[in-house]
Amino acid sequence: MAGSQLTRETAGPLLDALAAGASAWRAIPLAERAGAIADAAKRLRRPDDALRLRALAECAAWTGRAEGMLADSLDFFLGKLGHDALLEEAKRCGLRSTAGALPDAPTVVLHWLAGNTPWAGLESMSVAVLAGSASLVKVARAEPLFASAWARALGEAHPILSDALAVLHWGGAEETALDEPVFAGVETLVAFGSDVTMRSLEARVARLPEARRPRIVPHGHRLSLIFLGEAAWQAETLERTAERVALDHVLEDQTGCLSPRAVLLVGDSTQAAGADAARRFAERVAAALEKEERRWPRAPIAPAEAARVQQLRESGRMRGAGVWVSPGSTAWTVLLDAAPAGGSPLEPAPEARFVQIVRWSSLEEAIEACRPVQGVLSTLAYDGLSEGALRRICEGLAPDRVCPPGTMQRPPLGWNHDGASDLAHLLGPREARGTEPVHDRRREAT
Amino acid sequence: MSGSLESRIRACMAGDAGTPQADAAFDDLARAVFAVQFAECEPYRAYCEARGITPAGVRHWSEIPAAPVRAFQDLELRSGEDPVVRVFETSGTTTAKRGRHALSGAALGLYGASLLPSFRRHVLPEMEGEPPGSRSGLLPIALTPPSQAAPHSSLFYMFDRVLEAFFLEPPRRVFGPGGLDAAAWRAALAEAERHGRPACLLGTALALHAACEDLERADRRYYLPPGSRVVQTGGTKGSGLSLTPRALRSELLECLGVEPDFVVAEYGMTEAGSQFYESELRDAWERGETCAFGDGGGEPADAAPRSLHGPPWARAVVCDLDTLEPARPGETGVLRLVDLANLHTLSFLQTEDLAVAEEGSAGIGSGPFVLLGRATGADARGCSLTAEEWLRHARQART
Repeated sequence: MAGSQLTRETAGPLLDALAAGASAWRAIPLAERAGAIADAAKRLRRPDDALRLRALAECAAWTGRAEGMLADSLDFFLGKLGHDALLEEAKRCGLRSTAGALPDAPTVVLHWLAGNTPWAGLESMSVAVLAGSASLVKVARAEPLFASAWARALGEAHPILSDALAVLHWGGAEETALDEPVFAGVETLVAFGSDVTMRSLEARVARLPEARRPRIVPHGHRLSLIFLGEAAWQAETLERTAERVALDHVLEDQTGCLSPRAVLLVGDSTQAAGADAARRFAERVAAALEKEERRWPRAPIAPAEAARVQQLRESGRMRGAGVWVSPGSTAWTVLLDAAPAGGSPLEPAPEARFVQIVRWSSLEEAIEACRPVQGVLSTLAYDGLSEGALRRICEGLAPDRVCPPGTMQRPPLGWNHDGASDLAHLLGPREARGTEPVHDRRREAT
Repeated sequence: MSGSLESRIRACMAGDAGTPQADAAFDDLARAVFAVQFAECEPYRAYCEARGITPAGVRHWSEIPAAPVRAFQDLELRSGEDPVVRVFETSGTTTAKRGRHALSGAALGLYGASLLPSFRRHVLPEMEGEPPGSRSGLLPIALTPPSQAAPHSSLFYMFDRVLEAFFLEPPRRVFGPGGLDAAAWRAALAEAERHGRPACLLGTALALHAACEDLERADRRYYLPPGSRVVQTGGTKGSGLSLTPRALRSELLECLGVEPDFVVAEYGMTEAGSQFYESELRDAWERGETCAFGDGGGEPADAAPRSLHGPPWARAVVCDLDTLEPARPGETGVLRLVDLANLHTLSFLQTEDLAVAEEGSAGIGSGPFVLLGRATGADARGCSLTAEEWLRHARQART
């Protein structure tokens, strides 16, 4: 069931049907479930697949995002879903490959998607399928298309699976009227969105009798950062680092929680040579952004965001910062600034392919300026730093994940998504967050 | 140089506050102001020079660079070396740092001179043409503290100046350090109602809303006498409350009997000396109407958004969001102000406020504009932390 409206009359029967679908689905061996996901992924990676082509075209038209960029991200997401990789993830969560339903897997999961980027939601759907759960997916108005396409591909990959998936939209004035039948009919609610959305959902769930409340797995506000030591922007590394930093800002048009909102250059900012190197680095980032703009033009942004971009550009110019901008538009911006005086916290860059580069001579001051994000820092990309420096940053800011630049928007299957992997979240209460982030060592070689 | 310029600007303020200066006259004054500020405000000069713009090269005031208002967070932007006697600060609701507008005695004097004629024109139109020093018999009710309680607030300063200049008696103050003083609020309203004295209420949108909520909770309503009016300023940005201007006017009608045409919104900013007003009250007065409770029936559901009108010594240009060039009338853009009342600080200001301009009779920027709200789009943005949330985290980290 895809793209229809949910009502009070249809909610109960739908959830009953999904529960029945889950019963049938979880009787399928784990390896076969993994195979269905892998087959659906393989199918959608075919460049001539009609479902793929329609989903990409429609999503590009709906969101304004570059179709090529969407295709690139889609292919990365699908590429994670190989049969062996899925079984390995299941095993990592404590299962043998011959097992049926994963222990503690909920019968029906409600995936409450956000509109900024579809991939986290699709991964959540996929691991629910792997776990043997049925899924009700509530899509966002801002991006309602990919979840339907993925559900259809999954449903066509295995005849039983189509009875365990439903993708719908409901909202507006009717949304809270559906809370009771919907929330009471699912065991787990995986929610993506702002902290306001998370608090609203928690309050709404709390109004139900305790026995009927789903467990909530919230994925609220997060942001990400890049830390670069001087070795990362010297002459021999400059171009490569600049291109990777630009790519991290370009993907998803910088709107995702994995998108960087500041680039912190840590080195001796009192040295003129360092200042020159930083300037050359910023120029190369600007060149890389312009190249990406020609390849994958940025989607239009809200007027308020455009106004903010212009204000930040001009106030940067006024205080003597280095400013590079897309000609005649707000498509991209690079701002190279000195560290703010007086220990002021950094303000995150607008989500508009805006690369905010700030130079620090003291790593400790840079960490302190980012202190407000402790607890909401998703991904930290780093390069050119010693292991000791990285350890100090991680101890100070507690990112969930660290990785090299250029891979921020490319988390592997099973990545640390707000404290645990998506599959681990589904199976039980969130693990306590440790101080050691999951390091994407597999990415180091690329 | 600035002495004779100030005289010219003051002469403009003493004239007809409702008719824009002809573009040629405004252009002449604005370019003269630019020459002074280019010479005397070092950061502004550096900014202009980096763009290759100098007073000699400017052919029309619309070419003069506008400094971003955010620059007031980082730099002291003023012209001349006179000592600073007052500093107004922004509220800091949506940015980590506060903007500071530092004013000398001369700057403060010019600021005071600029705010009175606009207020009189749009809020007390019946007083235009009366001898200087005339005062209104309206009962003033201030939903703001005195400016001594918040010396960095340009809004409270402005309200205090108009209260001193235009009203026969001191205001009934109904907001204290802890917020609304409900007893004082209801007493002031009861006084107006009992004695048949029209009142003039001044407050922010948030304060007026809180005051109306107090009456709703108490299930009380008042009927302010004909001639009563409300001056409302500010939106609900950063408060978490979503309240449209129309909704607020509806609350004021419901709780106080003040018809929408007698609610006047004012737009100003910490960094600018001049204000922009809605014209509905003045227009109603020119039609010979007075506010009489229950007569008007409120606003039609499809009432158009209201325009804001500026004084002859200011211009409001809506700029294209991609290029910052002047946008065509009817297009949404970001507002640039040219405010000659800022002679002693900085007159050319690029704001972050969205607006749509209407055609003006005296050239670019001389017409009214509709101010648009800032949409945060938080849910569309999804899980990515907004600047406002970062600010909240930053403040919590500091406490």
